[in-house]
Order: sequence, then C-alpha cells, then structure tokens
Amino acid sequence: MKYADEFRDPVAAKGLLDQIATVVDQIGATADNPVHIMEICGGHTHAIFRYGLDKLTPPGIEFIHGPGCPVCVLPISRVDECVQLAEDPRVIFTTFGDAMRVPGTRKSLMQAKADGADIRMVYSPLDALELARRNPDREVVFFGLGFETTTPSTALSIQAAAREELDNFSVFCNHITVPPPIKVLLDDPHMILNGFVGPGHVSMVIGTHPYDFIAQDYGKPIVVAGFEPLDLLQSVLMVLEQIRDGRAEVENQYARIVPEHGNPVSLAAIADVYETRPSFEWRGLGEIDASGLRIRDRYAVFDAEVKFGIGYAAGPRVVQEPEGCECGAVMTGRMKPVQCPQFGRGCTPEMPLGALMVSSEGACAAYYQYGGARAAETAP
Amino acid sequence: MEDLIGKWVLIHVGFAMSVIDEDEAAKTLEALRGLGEAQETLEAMVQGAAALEGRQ
Repeated sequence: MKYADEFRDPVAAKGLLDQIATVVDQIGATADNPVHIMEICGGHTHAIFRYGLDKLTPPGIEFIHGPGCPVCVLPISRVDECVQLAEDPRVIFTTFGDAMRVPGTRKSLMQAKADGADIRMVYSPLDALELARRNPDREVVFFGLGFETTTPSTALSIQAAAREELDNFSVFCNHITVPPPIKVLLDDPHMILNGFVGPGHVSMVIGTHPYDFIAQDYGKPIVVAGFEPLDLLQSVLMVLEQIRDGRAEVENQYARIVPEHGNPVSLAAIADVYETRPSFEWRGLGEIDASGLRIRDRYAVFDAEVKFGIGYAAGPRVVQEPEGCECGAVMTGRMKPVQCPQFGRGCTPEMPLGALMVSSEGACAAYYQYGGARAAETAP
Repeated sequence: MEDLIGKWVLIHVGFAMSVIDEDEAAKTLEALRGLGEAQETLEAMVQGAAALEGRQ
C-alpha cells in the first residue's frame, strides 16, 4: 500500500536502530537506568509489539504504555450503562466492535446481545444514522467512544441528524481528550517520564500545539509520530536526541498527515456539537477535570444521556472494578502487564477480566499476543 | 472536490480526515533512506577494513 510499505523498509530500520543505540549510549542509559518513553496512543502500543520494536531497541529504553486506548480507559460503569441502554426494547444499540467484549458488572455487550438485546456492530456512525432512517419506530443509539480522532465523526453525524430532523438517533457520548490525562501523569510524583511519543491521528485533528505545555511547563520532549515501524523508530530517535541535547520541544515526525494546526473542519464540528464536561471518569485514573466532552444543550435531543436519563445525567455513582483486576495500575505504568497476577491466567483475550486485555490497542492484549514467550520468561 | 481526484487520503470510520501531504512524505522517506544508505556505506567500510587487515 502506498505511503505504508515504504515506511517498513528494513534497511532504513537498521540505520535508525544503530543511530538509536548510539544516542542511548551518549545519554548513558542502560537496562538498570533506562530512559522512560511513554507512547501515549494505544495504536502505537500495538505497533511497538506487532513489529517487536521493544525488543529491537536497546535495553536502555523502557517503553511506558500510555492511556490512549479508548476502550481501556472506559470505566466499567459506562459499560453497564451501555448494557442498560441496549436492553431497552425500544433501542437498537450501535457500537464499534472493540467495545463488544469489555466486561461490565453484570455482562458485556456481547453477552447482552446473546441474551437478546438488539446490538449492531457498525464501522461508522454513518451506519447508525442509516439504521435510524430505516427504523423510524425504533431508537437508534450510537456508542460515541474515542479520542479526538473519532469525535469529529460523531459531531458530523449529529449535525446530519439535526439537518434531517432524525430525532430517533442519539449518541451516548463518551468522547475524551488526550491532553488532560497526560497532565495528570506528569503531576504524579511516582511516574518517571523522560519523553513522549505523541499520538498521530489525534494530532491530525487537534494539531501539535495542545502539547506545548508538555515541553514548556514540564520540560519534556514530545514527538508526534506515525504508525509504521520506521515512523516510530524515527520518533524515538528524535525524542532521544532531544534528551541528549537537553532540549524540550514539540516535534512532528508525522507531517505527511498532521498539520500544525490540525483539521479546521473537524475542530469546527467538535466545537459546534460538544462542550467540555467539568470532569470525566477514567478507568485507573479516576475523575479528571475537563477531560471529557458532552453534547451541547442545543443538540440535547440527540444526547442519549438526556433522552434516557442515564450516565452523568443520572448523577454520580461508584462502581467497583472486578476483584484482582490490576488494569488501573498497569494503565498508570505502576505495573507491567505480566506482573498482574491475573495476566494469562484469569484474564486472556478470549476471557478478559479487564479492558486492557480486550482491545487490540490495550497493553495487556499486545503483550499477550506478541510477547508470549518473553511474558512467560519474566512472569513470577 | 475535482482537485482531490488522484490524491491519497486517510480515512477513519467513514470520514476522510486528512489529505496526505506528498512532499512531507517524500521528505521523511528521503531522510530515512539517507540513514539506510549511510548504514550500508558504514558496513562497506567495515568490510573493506576487515578485508585489508586480512591481506596483511
């Protein structure tokens, strides 16, 4: 595929890996005293494991897996609310496939579907819109999940529903934003973070300036990266060079996709439809100020929280995580996936206990799928 | 819209989110290829040096 295969060239990879090894030596990083680089985005976590980049790079680099996997940071209470919505006989509940197997307190959406709930997996909110057009006597709810990459698609869908007066369509909005949890992690005195690989497709929407605080206020380098192996290696090299040179800048390795100021059409749609919530709950991180979006009052008729009286519309609630699930500790980098007592035992991709084992972008699923042999070596 | 025919775009959940900037893609690839070539040159030099030592 054009603009993909070229970024998988092994000769260039070898050159990058040698450069990376040189800079790691110049920094003086070793296995015992590594440089900690967080890849924020779950897509990067997946790519690092898929291509074995964690094994190809020198032991002086420690990858810390960030919170950028929407399914993984979804609190269990929101899954329960999805199930509740889906079990309403009026509702056709539509969702991206990766949310289907996330365990809820009672059941996952997959189990709810098996039990008779009308749940449809879709590839686009446009499919949910079409279902609403074809089923005027049903309520079609779309599970709006994801970071800034996906938020424009639901904003544009709500705008389309408003134009068509398609008021049997609504969105259960769980959209979240990348910068606030990064600030929480940077403020955590237990986190050691020397630099960041920044999300590529989120940045395609928001541009690179929302990360300025990472460089300016916290003095940490960040390089916005693409998703092919060469993109990631080059970005890691750029982060390392900043660390070696004592620089802290926002750099853009993925300029073929990411404009400095993002996508103005997407940003306008987001601003028209959504506003920032005072706070939003993240799995493993708790409530984070101004980290989630809600649908503005003028589109309230398309807001499933308002329409069905659930979620934040129903007031605060506390739900316990499943017993023995350490997703929170893994999410915040306090624990490696293989250090969780449930990893590969009570929690596998087939029978996940926690969300990090569900999504292909989750750190645990990536370890399980691509790191099996080494996981077995290092497991207690 | 007509201007876009023949362009490459990144599509996410049914929406074209970004037109690929071919100049930027070429620049990145050039830098990467440069690294690869530098590596090959270095390896050739090492091999050359080894061959010379072998001759002595």
